Amino acid sequence: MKIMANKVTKVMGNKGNQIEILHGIDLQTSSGEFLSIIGPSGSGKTTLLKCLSGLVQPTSGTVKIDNQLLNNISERKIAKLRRTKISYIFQSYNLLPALSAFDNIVLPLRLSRQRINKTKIYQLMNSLNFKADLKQLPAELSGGEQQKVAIARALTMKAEIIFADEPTGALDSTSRQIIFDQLRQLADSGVCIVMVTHDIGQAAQTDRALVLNDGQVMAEVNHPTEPLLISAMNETKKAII
Amino acid sequence: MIRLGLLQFKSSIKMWLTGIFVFIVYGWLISFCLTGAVTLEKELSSQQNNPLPIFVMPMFFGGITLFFVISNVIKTIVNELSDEYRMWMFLGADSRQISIIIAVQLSLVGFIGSCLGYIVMLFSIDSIYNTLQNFIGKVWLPEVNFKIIPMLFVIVNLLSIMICFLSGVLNSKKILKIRSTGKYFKLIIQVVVSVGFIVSSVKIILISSRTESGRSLFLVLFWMILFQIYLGQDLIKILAKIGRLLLPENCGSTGNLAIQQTSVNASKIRDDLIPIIVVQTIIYGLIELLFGLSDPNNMDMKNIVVSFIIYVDAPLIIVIANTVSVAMLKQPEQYENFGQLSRIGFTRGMLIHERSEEILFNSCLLFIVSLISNIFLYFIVRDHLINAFNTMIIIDLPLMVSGLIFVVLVVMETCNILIWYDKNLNKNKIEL
Repeated sequence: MKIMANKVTKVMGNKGNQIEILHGIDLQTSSGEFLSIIGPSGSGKTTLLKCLSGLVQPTSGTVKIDNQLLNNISERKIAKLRRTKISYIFQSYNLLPALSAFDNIVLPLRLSRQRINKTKIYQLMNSLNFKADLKQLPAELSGGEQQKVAIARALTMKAEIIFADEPTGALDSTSRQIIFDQLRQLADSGVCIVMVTHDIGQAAQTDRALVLNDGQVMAEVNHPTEPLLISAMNETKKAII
Repeated sequence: MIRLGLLQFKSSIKMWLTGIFVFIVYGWLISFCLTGAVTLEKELSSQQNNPLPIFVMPMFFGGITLFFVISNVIKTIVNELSDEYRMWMFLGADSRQISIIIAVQLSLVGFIGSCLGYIVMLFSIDSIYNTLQNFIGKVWLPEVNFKIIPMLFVIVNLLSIMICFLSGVLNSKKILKIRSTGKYFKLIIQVVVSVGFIVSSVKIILISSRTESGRSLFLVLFWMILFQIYLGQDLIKILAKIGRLLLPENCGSTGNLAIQQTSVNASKIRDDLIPIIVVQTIIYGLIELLFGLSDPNNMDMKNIVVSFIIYVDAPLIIVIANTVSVAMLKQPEQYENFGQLSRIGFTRGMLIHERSEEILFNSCLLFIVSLISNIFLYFIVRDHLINAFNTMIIIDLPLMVSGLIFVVLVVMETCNILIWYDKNLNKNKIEL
């Protein structure tokens, strides 16, 4: 499962007051790769993630997922892609407040009319060390438990790509590590993960890191380490100054 | 999907029930009409005038009105819950699935509304029937005893659920902008309606006999209503822009803000105005037809009352109920706006002043569009209108409608502001 982005630009704002947020970004990922995107606030990380995942249409350039062009993709096809291959994990826990934890996990299966194996879901949640009740609503769960539900949803639907936007941003340090470890395990098992983060420590544990600034990829670091990423960030700052 | 719709309804029940008023009114209307029609059918003898249309037609016209105006209720609720519906889409729900989720919830509100409406009907049917008897007479409406018919309760609920479900599916697709063919479909409808309206208007101008022009006026009225529904929004948009340009640059602090607010809320205002303009046009058209084109020597007042009951009462009741429902649904949004304005120094008086100016601008728009419609209807048949037809009605009716809307909305907004202030003052006291 590959993501291919070619010269992606994104312009926002009204006529006469337009700002180009992304300036022609090229990107490729492959199955089982854990890619992190880092950069200062306002550098265009989230916009890039949204363009890559089909949540937002790029102004120009193309994005392909598994050779399927996302530009002008029909609403029905993108919906199918979202319930079969792509999963999202956001900082603001993208769970539906109306559904219980269990219903949130199995929602993509229900939408695509697949059979639900309750026992398997309970086993999965045990393996994720989920302590709360699956009948509880998201509002009754802690931040860490909510992110576990989002991860369980990705696992249950056997997502091939996970787009994560600051997935541990609102969590305490223990939950942060548990969630990150889960994502790492998923990548090791063949899932492609694209994660936007501010946390250099976490980015250092991914397979590849992109340093973004002002809508451009300033550096690309394979097998990143913390010192490497810090120096890449500093060099980016110097280059801008 | 039905189960997911039920779960979503459980979570947003408060929001849906805030807009239930229009559904209760519709439930009451169809319960009343069905009970009346079924009971009278049993009592009818062949010599009498047939009163069934008085009960059957309002049900039909009420249903059509509800089908169209309900989109305003859905739009307000979907806007309030837009984050949730966007999330449904992120998680893989397609347009059909989301529209079913919304339609299931709307059907539930329709069901609850029609149950409550039926109960209200049980208590009100005798007094309303007596009032109708006083207007129309016992020849048309004989003495009858209304009884509870359980089957009618089921039919009322089924009718309400069916209209709500269909309207939910069709309107939610339009509101969520997930119908890819919507733009072209709308354009085709606009062209067809414009052609129909122009052709029927030209035809009526060329007619020489009064009787024929009376018949043709019905057709013009039909096309004009469609024209107002499908093109009225664009025309109001242009008129509002001209209105804002004509106003002086400095209208005072509250006046300037009121004009800005009307510009920001333009699309919502247009949605609210169209149903009122349509009902006003129907009333004027009927007045012109029944008083202006009828022979004054053979004018039957009872027949006129019956015609008004058949064509106007149901749409009028549903449009008023819808205006109340939408106003109630917009309360949270209003409260947020009051909070913002009060934080930057608006007093209670200034808020009431600003809101009144905003409503005045919209009422003027309503008046102008209604006036244009009436003048048009007057001019196409002016050669056939009898002398007794009072042309002042062209101005009086829109003035009455827009004046009434102005007064009702100002009273509602003032109450809203006072309640909000009261709540906030109490909250501040508790916090202190």
